[in-house]
Amino acid sequence: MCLATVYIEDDGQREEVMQDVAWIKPANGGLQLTTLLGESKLFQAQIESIDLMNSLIVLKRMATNEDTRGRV
Amino acid sequence: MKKVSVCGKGGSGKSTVVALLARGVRDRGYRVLVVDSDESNPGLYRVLGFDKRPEPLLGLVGGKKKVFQTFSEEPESSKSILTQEKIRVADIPGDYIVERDGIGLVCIGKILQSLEGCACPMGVLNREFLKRISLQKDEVAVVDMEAGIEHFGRGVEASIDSVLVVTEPSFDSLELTEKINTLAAEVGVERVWTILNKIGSREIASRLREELEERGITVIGSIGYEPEIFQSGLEGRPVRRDRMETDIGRILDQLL
Repeated sequence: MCLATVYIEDDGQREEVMQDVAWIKPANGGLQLTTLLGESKLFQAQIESIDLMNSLIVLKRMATNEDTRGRV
Repeated sequence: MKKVSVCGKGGSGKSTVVALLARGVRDRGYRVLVVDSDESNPGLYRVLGFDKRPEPLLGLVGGKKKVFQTFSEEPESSKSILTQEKIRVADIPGDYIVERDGIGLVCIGKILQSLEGCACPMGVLNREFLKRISLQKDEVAVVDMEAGIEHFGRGVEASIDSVLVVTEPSFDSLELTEKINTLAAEVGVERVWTILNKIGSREIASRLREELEERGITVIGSIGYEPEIFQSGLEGRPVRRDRMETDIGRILDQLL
């Protein structure tokens, strides 16, 4: 199926975050994902891989200033 | 029976059966929503007696050509009924449904031009619409599914209560009927039944029933090889049901 299921990787863990994603746009330093029906979410992440055969997209979470502060 | 999906091989008679069932269910006191989920066949609205087709629901999400102009632009679809958890028939905007005499018709989407790409968005929209459509006690949805089995791969049947397979006398149709039974069971549909169609003689009916029952398939009815069905199909008009009343009645006794 052409619409994608999107996973996000963080600290080696992979978690499904959205299904039926139709559009992806860069936004606010991250990625804005929108489903066919219009649900939209912003992730501070970059694309790790796109698998068009299996309609899977994996994102990798980027360390934000807030994330960095939290870990220090 | 709240949401029933009519499946089968291309040309087996799904749309005819949908029209006959829709009118039969309506005559038994229900309001019927017919969902045209076949992205190819253009004429279901005529078979149901409407003089125009509804706008495809795909238009509510902007259609396939939608492109965001800016990062900040809100998708049109975020304002549409399709973002609702539950959609009532009354919520469907007027352009997107045609209604008459207790039967409504909506259309998921149609392939309109060459090279426009695949039908994946229609498959997803179909699955989500069928999941979200919220029917009242006196409402029944009858889905004219696309031919074949791709819709099972898309999970469209996840919210369907009953799958009706239309089987014609051909080897391919028998094979596909068995496959649909397996796929529907895998999705978790509890009621998977078969209707024989284009049956020219009792011998053919018996042979088909035997073949199907050997494969563990339940046959709940049979529609004869009626010249009126072919004549109405050729003319693109509703079929006269006089000679099919008994056949359809028996099927409805099982369904309702």
